[in-house]
Amino acid sequence: MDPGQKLRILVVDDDASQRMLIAAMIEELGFDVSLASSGLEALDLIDEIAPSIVISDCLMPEMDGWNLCRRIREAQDSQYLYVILLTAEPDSYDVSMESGANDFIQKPLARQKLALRLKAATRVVTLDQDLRHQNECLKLAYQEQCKDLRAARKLQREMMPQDKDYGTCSFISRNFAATEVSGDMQSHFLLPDRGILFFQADVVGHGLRAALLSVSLARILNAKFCAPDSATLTPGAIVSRLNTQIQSQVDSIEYFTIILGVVYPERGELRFCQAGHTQSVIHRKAGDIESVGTGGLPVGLFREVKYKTETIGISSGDRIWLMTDGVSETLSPTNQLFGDEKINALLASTDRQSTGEQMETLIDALKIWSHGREQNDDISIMSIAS
Amino acid sequence: MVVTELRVERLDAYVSEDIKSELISCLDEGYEKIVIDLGHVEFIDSSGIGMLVTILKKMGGSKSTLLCNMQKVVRSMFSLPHIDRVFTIYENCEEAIDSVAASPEKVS
Repeated sequence: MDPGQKLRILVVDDDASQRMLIAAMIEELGFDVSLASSGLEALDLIDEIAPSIVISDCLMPEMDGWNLCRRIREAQDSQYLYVILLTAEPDSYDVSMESGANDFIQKPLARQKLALRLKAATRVVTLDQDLRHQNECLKLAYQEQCKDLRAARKLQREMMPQDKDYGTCSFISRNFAATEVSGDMQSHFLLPDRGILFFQADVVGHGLRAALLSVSLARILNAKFCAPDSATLTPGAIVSRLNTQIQSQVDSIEYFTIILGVVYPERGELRFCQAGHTQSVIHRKAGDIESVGTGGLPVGLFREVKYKTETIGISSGDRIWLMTDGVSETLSPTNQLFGDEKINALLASTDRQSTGEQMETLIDALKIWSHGREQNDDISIMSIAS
Repeated sequence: MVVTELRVERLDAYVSEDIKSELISCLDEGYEKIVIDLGHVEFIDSSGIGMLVTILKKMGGSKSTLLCNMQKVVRSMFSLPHIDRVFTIYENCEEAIDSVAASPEKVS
């Protein structure tokens, strides 16, 4: 509020000489004054001129001061009007406060008394205006931040891969952030030796901190990093390299789990490194479902870690599912986990569907399970269909 | 040596940072070893594990950071990411304390 600005006071009294007397005192004290001769007139004027303070007589015909106060409080939406009731009756404190008045002054009204009460009123009104202004600023700042986060999320989404059919195998991936941005990252791309590299990473926590690390991952893990001089490193070697590059300071708790692998469909081979990540699920053409991966340390926790490579055979018709733990850990409203058994059961029961359809079925099942409950962790799912 | 009992049911992203700060300021008083009783903890996620690793790194390694009294589900959360190889884990806390062979000051 502009400190030079005078507060406006509305004086309500059916007695004309009383009105003028009070108005004169108030003007002398440095306020702007408006006058009303009845409660109804007052209500109209309040809408029109938006005073900060109302001083009203209690005993008026048609609408008394208490009723006026009640009406003012009922109509309250934005401005918190400071209402002072004037009364000759000594026992009207309770009823004045009950009607919603901020203060009441007993007549006869002395200049000194009025001055003090208006000083108190001014303090409250100023505080209230400052608070409202602060809230406005906070709201704007928050909206700006949300806008920034949405832009960051958009950028992240653009880094996530499109569904792609490489001819020998096809990839579908979906990602759902728990907050504005995701701490998960996944991708797949072709390597010079015609293998397809894929990875799914889950950064500790979620929100902006995790998202920043996930974005730097996507930047680092490209064909050049994984196959320098066109010779593809083993997944274990790639993750070791990544660990060295990503090393965080001692005190931060930033690290991530990752499954990184290369699939050679023509050779029927899939090599991977499971660094602290969830196990992958293989759904064989014949129908059996198995979880694979013997685990390993996450990335970014310790220096000098040797990550190992595992190999499995795959054949045409096999499907591989990678999921971050947000999937299995989806909570129902009664705090029950969705669980790995349900995931496997769902995949088994939908094996006639295409992987795209299975993906949608799984996502729907998770939505139903959580039943409108806020998502507690980022969810990423990638399917590889040979 | 300091023995600390983590009285939270969920060691997750919401509490990990605060608990980490508390433990670190406690450890700054110069303890050589820390035994962490996880009996109350029913759930731990990657943030919780990261917090424990930070303590481990601050204490200089697994010989100085002992975890004990883990519930079954929490114990299993440690095995897949192979984090259990990094910590010294005891079934019960008496064993952990005995193995350090110094008089404990119990801190909660």
